[in-house]
Amino acid sequence: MAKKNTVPAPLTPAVLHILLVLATGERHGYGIMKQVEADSQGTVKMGPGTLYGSMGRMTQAGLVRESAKRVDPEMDDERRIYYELTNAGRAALQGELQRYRGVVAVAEGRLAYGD
Amino acid sequence: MATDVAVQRYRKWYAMLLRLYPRPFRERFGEGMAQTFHDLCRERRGARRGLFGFALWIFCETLVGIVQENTTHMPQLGKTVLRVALGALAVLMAPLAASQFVEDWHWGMRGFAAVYAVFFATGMVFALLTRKMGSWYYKAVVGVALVAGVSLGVVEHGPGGGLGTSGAPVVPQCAGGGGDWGKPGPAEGGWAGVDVVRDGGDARADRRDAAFGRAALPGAEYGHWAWCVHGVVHCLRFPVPARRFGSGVR
Repeated sequence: MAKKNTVPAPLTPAVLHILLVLATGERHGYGIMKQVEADSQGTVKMGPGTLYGSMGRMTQAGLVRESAKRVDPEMDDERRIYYELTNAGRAALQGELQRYRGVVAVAEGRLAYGD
Repeated sequence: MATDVAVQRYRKWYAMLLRLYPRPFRERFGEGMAQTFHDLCRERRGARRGLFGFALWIFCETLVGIVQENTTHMPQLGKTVLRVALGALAVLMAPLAASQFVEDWHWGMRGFAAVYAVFFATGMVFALLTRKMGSWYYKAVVGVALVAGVSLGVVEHGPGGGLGTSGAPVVPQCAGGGGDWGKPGPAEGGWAGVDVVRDGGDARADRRDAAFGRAALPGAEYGHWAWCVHGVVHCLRFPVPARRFGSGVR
């Protein structure tokens, strides 16, 4: 029988970007999409299918939660659902960044050895 | 450039597309998705950019999400059945393509339906037997056993009409493995495959790996019994030529 993997699986790029955006405060769907595009300098473009599919899984995993509906003063008078990071979401983001640091350290070591 | 009419039309179509999501997902995120799509359209219109290509991309992207969500909410058995049904359909493409190039291969719709049913049943048996197996080696062995059994049935008793290597019906070997093997052909090869896997599974089960035995034996037995049933039917349909039992038989 295969051994159970205790190491948390790496986050998908979409989930990582959403967590990064929500780390600075709560946002609605369109706001998340625009911020992801800006953060990645236009290289990551996600549509509503990817965004809300990821949000569904993240909500289920307890990484994000919905906050109250309200109007975005910069846009229009439509009421929107805002999303915010939970403590578990913040911990997952920190864990992922730690994993990235480890990968970068190994890569730098290998490159230095190559030189 | 995007017009108000075009935006309204795309919003309407997008709302219809969102209905394909599973109900719990749609009730939770449908409104937000429709709102986000509207925001994106408005942004494009404000920037005086075209809408068709953009809407097409969003529709395709959402369609992928719809498939994912529907698959996620499907029970495990439903997923297995769907996978096996699609796999059987893919395998069926081989005889379907071959029938276009091989002369005297006229299965017809009923024949293909029967073969599809056999492929599907075999796939389901494989999925059920191997559902808790971690090792690909074991899965492969069970697969060999099943394919061997099915090849016996299809080659000997399939819609082609019981053709052996010489074009004549081959005597079934189900009665305790006795009789002459005759000329080597696909049926004999298939039977040998079943036998080898069954004996191998037996041996391993006796020693240390009970999981292998548990999986390989039913796999081989499936082939074995498929062969026996087909053999009985064959005996009833075709008289047994004496020459196939060796020269000692008078």
